[in-house]
Amino acid sequence: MNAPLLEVRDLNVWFKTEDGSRVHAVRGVSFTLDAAERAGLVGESGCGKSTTVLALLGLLPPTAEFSGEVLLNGTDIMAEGEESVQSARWTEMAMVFQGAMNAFNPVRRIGSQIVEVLRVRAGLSKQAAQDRARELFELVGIPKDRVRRYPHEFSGGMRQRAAIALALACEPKVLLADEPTTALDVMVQAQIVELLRRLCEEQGLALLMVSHDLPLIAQVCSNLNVMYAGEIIERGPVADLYRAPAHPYTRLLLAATPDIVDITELVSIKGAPPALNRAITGCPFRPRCDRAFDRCETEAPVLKTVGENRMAACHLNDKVPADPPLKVNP
Amino acid sequence: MTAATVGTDTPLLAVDGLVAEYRSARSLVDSIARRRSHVVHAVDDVSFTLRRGEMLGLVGESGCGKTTTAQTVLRLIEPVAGSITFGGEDITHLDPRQLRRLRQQMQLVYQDPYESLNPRYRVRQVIEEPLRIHGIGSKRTRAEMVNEALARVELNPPGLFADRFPHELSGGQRQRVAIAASLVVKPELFVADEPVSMLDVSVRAGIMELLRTLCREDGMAVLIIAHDLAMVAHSAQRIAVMYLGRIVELGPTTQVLSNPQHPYTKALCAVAPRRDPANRGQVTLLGGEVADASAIPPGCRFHPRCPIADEGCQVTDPRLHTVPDSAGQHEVACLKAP
Amino acid sequence: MFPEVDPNAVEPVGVVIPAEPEAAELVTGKQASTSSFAVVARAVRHSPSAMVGLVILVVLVLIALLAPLIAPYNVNVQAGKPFTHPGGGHLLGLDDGGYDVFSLLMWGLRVSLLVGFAATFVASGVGSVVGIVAGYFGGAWDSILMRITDYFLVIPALPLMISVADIWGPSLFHTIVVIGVLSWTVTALVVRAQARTVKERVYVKRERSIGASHRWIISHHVLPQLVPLIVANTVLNISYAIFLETALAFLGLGDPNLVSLGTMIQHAFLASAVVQGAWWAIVPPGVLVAVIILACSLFGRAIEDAFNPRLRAANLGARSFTRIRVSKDRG
Repeated sequence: MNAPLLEVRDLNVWFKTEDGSRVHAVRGVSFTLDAAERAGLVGESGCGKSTTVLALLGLLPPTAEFSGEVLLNGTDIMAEGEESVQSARWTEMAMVFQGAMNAFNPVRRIGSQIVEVLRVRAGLSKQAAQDRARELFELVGIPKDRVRRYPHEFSGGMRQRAAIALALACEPKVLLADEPTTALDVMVQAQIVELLRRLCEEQGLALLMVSHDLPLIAQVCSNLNVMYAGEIIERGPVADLYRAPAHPYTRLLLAATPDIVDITELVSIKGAPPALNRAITGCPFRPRCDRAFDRCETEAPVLKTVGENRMAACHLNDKVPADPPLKVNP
Repeated sequence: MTAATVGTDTPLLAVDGLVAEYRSARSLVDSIARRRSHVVHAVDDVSFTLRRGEMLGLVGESGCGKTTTAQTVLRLIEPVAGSITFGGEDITHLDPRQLRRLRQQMQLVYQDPYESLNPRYRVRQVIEEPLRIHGIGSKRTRAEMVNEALARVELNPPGLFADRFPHELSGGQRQRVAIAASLVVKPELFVADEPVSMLDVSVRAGIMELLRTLCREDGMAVLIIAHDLAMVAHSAQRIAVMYLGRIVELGPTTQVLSNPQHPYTKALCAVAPRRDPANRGQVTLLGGEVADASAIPPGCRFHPRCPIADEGCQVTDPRLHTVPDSAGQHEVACLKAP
Repeated sequence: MFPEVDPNAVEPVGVVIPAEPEAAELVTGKQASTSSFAVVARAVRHSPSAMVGLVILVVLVLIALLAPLIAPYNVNVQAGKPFTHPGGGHLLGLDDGGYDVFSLLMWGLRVSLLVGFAATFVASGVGSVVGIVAGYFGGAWDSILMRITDYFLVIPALPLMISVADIWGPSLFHTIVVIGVLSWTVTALVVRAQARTVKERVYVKRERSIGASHRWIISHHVLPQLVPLIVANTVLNISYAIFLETALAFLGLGDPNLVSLGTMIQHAFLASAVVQGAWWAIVPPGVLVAVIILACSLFGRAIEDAFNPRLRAANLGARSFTRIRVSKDRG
């Protein structure tokens, strides 16, 4: 059995705030990513998913503290802090950021920004870098001659493709995508998502995609990790998660997702996620759960195996095999 | 309530042939050189009606003119041509002073709940402000109306929420506050510009359900702007799909979604994410990007991206015609549709 | 075993974090007051230099106000020979006319501060109005007002004052007017820029759709957002005004009947204090002017910084990345 390409062990991230308190944004997150596997990290705002992927590349702000291990090919790249993660950044693991469309320097041509990365990180000569930049553009579906254009001459979708090209520049093995389709139109979203899926298949990349859009991420990824209040509360193959969610949050989230054909009553989950600047007793989802009982108040559930390749953190799984499947109109 | 006495059959809002444009400012040099200003045809001949107690979803991608349509209907942007009839009265050419009294009856809720409330105002002040502007009620009655509005949007207990600042509330709660601030003057027309697109999925349904209740129980006419069909599929009774400033398909939600006639609507339906991943069929993605509204192609404006366009489509600009077997409810603007 | 869970029984006070990278900023957990006063107070508390500036200003203003009561000597009565050395009851000696320098400093401070504050309030008032009208209404108003502002911006200070003094005679009032006329332009530009930004904010645009008149919007939504900026700008302008007054007085263009810090320097200079080594007549007023300007700058900058939109954390730039502490405790 091959060792996983990326393994995250017990990642915790704290943020120091102005008034001195600490926000425990990521709480003991662990997961693995195999080579050429496409996994998703799903959750709503504030659940810590973006913080998690930023932590993997050592891109947290100075107010952050973290603990845990990030193993790439068996080596902990966080061992020496900035020094060790620097060498892995972009060459082994690259990221497409949230709002990447606005991450380009507006006064420089897009091509030159990619060339810069290639020359600095991959050590290519100027000519080789320019050729490679054109190659990358072709790979992501932008006409090659656009290399000499400025960011404002690109549409949002094109800029996102350019951001993907930038991420692929140094041929990483792992691609992290943090909400790559936010602020794009639905058609363009579909195009970008399809592009990601195709690229990862063709290049054999491992993909970790972060999104709040469950159906969207289900199109690309084979496995999903569902996050809530800084923890992973369920994990498993996409289809299994839909058919038999093992955590009430997953079930409710699916029930809250609109569907243009299955126009049944949509559910909304009352309340809000818990504050992360204090310790949480019991299950973090308890206040909003429709199936909570006394044990949920006092004992925090642990993420454990509930089936083949399936894990969930819910006390209900100790009593019944799994939640009843979601009722869907045939 | 308006003084105009209209029968329940007459629509509250009737928009006919609406045209709105954005013109780029011309400098002195441009004027001397007689250069024509850059015109963006944001809304190009849009017509629809809206009845009391009805929710209409206006759907389209960015640049299709849906937000501009909403703003023009509310006379926040001046229409270049066409007419807007509200409560039986033609409001297209009312002057600012008359418009101000009308504003009480037409309210707008914005997309961004994080920016649409003044961060220095407590919730109570935010909701009370429209009452003060229109001189409604006394200090005491206003306080009661604020609490009533908060209860209506399910922010209970009202007293607790009234004292908060916006930054102490979640996005969903902020949006409810914005809705409360619009409800407090008891409008007849409610326009919501992408009210849930910046909110989490788990709270979206709650807000949409609230809007549906307002529609059903209070008989308000609600116009929802959305950028994807899924957002309005569960709440709106009718859907209008817009592309580049025109309505290309219009009809009851169930009919439009189950039997889309226009290629653009079909494409939107195809890319709409489905709850069950197994339900996604093979999707042929529409190529290209949304066209520029300042350079509208001749003939049917959709033909450059249309998978079934032919030479006729490059020449003739289609008008809305009724789809057969739809009792005149379902209309489409496509030369290839029956 | 499965008790009813009341879905509404969740504290609505969100420490709800909209998006992760900003988590550190938005999570306060308390009802942080956002009133202008509170923000300024916080800024001053956190910045020692601002505290120093504020204290100095307050002390100087108090001295100026109480000068008639606390000045040790009557400045209209000669206390001894001109340029007497400091000592013997006269902390800073006597000036060229034999008057106590220390007491004169207090009286001079009164005039200098008066001119500074008065001129600045005029300038800020005019500048703010111009800025708000140009920024909020835009269009033709903006073009016309900005052209007028440009015109005033380039008027040189000294030739203007010389002309005014020549034609209408030097006086306190003229000094205030001239300084006011010269300083309103910067305020106008700064306020206009901010007014334009505020006008575009969604909650301001929303006011129009509610039916608010322009007057309502400006007084309830635009102006409150501009007040901090105007205050910061005013404080900084005060230091400029006092400097300008001192310079003008030194050049003999100030009111000859009043003693200001500038005229003190002028008289001493003209009476050859430098040659005679009477540093106490010429240095203290200059130092005091410098102290006022410094105090205004420190305090004004602190207010400015407190109201500047905080720069978004550039935490995606590897170069600005600090080494993360790997803490082994679970927190």
